[in-house]
Amino acid sequence: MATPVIEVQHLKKYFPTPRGMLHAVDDVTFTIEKGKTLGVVGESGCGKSTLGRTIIHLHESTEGKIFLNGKDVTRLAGKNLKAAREKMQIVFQDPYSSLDPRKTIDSTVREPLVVSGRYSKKEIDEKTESLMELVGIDERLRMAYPHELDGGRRQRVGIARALALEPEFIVCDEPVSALDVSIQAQVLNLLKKLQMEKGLTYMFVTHDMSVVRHISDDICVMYLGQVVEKCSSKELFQKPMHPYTKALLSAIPSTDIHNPMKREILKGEITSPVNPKPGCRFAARCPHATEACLQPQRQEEVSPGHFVTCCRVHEVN
Amino acid sequence: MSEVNRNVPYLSIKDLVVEYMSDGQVVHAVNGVSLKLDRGTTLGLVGETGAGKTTIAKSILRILPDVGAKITGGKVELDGKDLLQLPEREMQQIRGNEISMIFQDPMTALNPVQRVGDQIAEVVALHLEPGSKTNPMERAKEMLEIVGIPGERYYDYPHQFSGGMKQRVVIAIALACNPNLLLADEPTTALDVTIQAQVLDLIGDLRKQFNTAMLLITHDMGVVAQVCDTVAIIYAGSIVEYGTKEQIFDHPSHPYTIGLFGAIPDMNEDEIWLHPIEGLPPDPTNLPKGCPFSPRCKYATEECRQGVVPVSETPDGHQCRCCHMEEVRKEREA
Amino acid sequence: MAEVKAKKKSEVVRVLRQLSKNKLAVLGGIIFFIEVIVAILAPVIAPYDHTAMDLMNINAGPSAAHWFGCDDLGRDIFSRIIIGSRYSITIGICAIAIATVIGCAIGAVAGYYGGWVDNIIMRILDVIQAIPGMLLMIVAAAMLGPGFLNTIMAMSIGTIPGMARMLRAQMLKERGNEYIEAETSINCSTFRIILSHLLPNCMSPIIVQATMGVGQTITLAAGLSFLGLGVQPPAPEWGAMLSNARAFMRTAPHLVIFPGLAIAVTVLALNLLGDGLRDALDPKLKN
Repeated sequence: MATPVIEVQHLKKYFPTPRGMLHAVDDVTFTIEKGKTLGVVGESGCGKSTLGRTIIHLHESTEGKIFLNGKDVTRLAGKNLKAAREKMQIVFQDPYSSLDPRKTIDSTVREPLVVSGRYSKKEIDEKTESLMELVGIDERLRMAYPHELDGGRRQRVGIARALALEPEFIVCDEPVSALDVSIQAQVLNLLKKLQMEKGLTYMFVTHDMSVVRHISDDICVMYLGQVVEKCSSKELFQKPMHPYTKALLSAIPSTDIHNPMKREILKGEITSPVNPKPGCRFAARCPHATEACLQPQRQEEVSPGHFVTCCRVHEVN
Repeated sequence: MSEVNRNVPYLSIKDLVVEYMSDGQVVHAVNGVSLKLDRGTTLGLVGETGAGKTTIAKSILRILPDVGAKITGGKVELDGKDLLQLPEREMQQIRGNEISMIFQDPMTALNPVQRVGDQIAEVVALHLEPGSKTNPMERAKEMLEIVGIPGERYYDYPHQFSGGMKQRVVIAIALACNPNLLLADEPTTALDVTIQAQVLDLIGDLRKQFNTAMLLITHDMGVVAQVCDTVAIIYAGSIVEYGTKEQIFDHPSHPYTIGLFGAIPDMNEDEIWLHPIEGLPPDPTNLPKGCPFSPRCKYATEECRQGVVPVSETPDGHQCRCCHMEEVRKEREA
Repeated sequence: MAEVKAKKKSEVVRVLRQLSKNKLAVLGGIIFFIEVIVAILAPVIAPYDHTAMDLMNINAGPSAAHWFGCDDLGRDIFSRIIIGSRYSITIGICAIAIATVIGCAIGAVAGYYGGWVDNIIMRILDVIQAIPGMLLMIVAAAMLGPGFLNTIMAMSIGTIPGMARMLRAQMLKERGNEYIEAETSINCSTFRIILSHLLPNCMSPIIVQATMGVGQTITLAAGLSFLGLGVQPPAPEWGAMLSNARAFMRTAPHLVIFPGLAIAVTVLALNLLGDGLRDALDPKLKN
């Protein structure tokens, strides 16, 4: 098997807070093959955005290892850090705050090329132009400011900026959740087209199950910093195994009005990720929880490529 | 409850027109919207950002910003009374007693320095009939219990509550005076799916219990499918399609409605490409002549750009504002 | 959403166009502009030598020959105010310029790095700010000794903490935006992030504060001169003129009125301009 573009082993990211350690990402392991998309889903505060930012070194990881094309890039500094960052880029959620309001979109897209110092003025001009064309931004809009554009076009600018340094891996952090449905579809199609043309590898962070199903090859379901279930996209939607995944899937309002799904309404709220107790973090809301769930949990491969972290997975299913 | 006239709908909006002034330009926010809502039913108002959904709800309550916004035409009749003609004093009686609104953002709708319970009790006290024996505090605790929050949390402050709980408090405030009409403006958009499911269930139960009519503003077709009885699709300030949930979901007839359905990734099918609606919504200061959707519509012809497109209605009440409705329908069924 | 024209508009042109819509701000701007021109051309404009004494006209009231009258030594007050504008306006602009540059540098470092760097800087500024502003300037002026340059120094020392605090607060707010993370991920250096992205986005309130600060500094400098700690006679700084005239307030009120008016008009003009700039500098406002 070819070396995966991204491999993450037992990655942890803790933040100190006045109330104790916040376990934003707690022991996450996965690989992403070249040209594939890993979807990461979960509710607000589950650490999915932090996970993406830690992998591309916007946060320093607390523990664990990150490999890029088989090379350990966990602890880097100076020139090596810069080289690694160029290979790993990010597209942000909020198309309003992710662009500098006082820079024209031309200079925003140009910025990474200028900063890299590798190109001449003429090359930068050419590259900027082709990037704009690639993401479908009209020639006339190049000198506009971000606030003059709609959300979809702003997101295209964000994508052009991420592509400028020809990365191999892009973290898409909820790139369409701030957009209207009709515009969302345009941006999703663009991301897919770019992936096919350039062989890009994506990690797609979202809370929208229908979007993640559409774009991902594999999916990780996160709950309070931990991966509770991991398998192929198809399998997750056909045979969800973890009680949380099941609840999550059944909570999606379906547009099918004739076959209303039987919904499993969860009781309670997400607990705090600060100083969590050992044991399953979902136990407090889980309808199937027993004493055994309060013990530390192990990840189990229930079928080839399908991992579930739940001690009662066989009883529940 | 007063006797119900079967022929007159509870809420009826006729040809509502709302304009804003912005930088010397007229923003055509709502352009001749007509809607009906019966007691105990739910109408879903679906559209994209800037389509005029919230403006319609605010026009019903007459809480549009004083500066710049103006209702330039139409009627909003509640039980046969035109709300737009009422003096402000009577309107105040109607707000809260008769109509309540739930706003999108629970984080800003609550006062951060006032106890949660007191905020509910305040609304109760404000709308109490003179001589009533209701104790506002008791009633507030009761409302908290109804929305699934223990009564002893009356004394907590909003920051001690999670987002879902705050939204439930907002709902408790809105329902505290047993309104007959609830205006819910994207009540679950800011919430996670599992919490959204809780809140939608709660609103549904309470509505059944109190026979409340609801105008639900949303952009999520899934939420509409779960909650609504009738649906109005709004585009650039005009209703382009209007009918029962079954009519809209089973036989969408306007190209925009069909486009909206097509743009959502299908949960049951694998496709490589989605079908977005190309182009952008029109500039509300400069709407295209004729059908506002025509610049993005693949069926558009000269006819669409001529003038205001009339509404056509099927015998069973399914309304659609499109010159090429027959053609669109035929192609969709095929 | 509106279609956008592909015209390159410079930020300055945009701000000026926006500013021109606010009539009061334009008025303030014109007044201040005229004052600056007058200050530059002062020796040409002044009808008399500002030090020339005319013993026939001691405390004389306004007349055709002496528009604003004469002071206790028979000097033409109109000429003295015109020449005095050089002192007052220079003090105002220079003191604020120095304070803005130093204050912004301190504020940027504190705001970007945060943590203990921020803590140390802020505590030092706290100590400075704990002393009332006027008192601080009096102490500074007393230590440096009176004089034109020392007045400028004293004025800027008193203004630095406010500027630094304001920029720090702006930086903290801006730093949370995702575009800063985006810049980090494309390997932008810290220096470039601060200088090319954060500062331009933090400058609006600073520019407004500086504009209004010029007026306040002119008032404060006048106060310092009034106390005898600022610019020394015979230099016709406006505050010094007031100080000098206080003995004649009852017998010859025009000695107080005209320099006082000069100060008031300047401060008012700058405040109007500052208010207008506050709105004009917001890029989110439509053109």
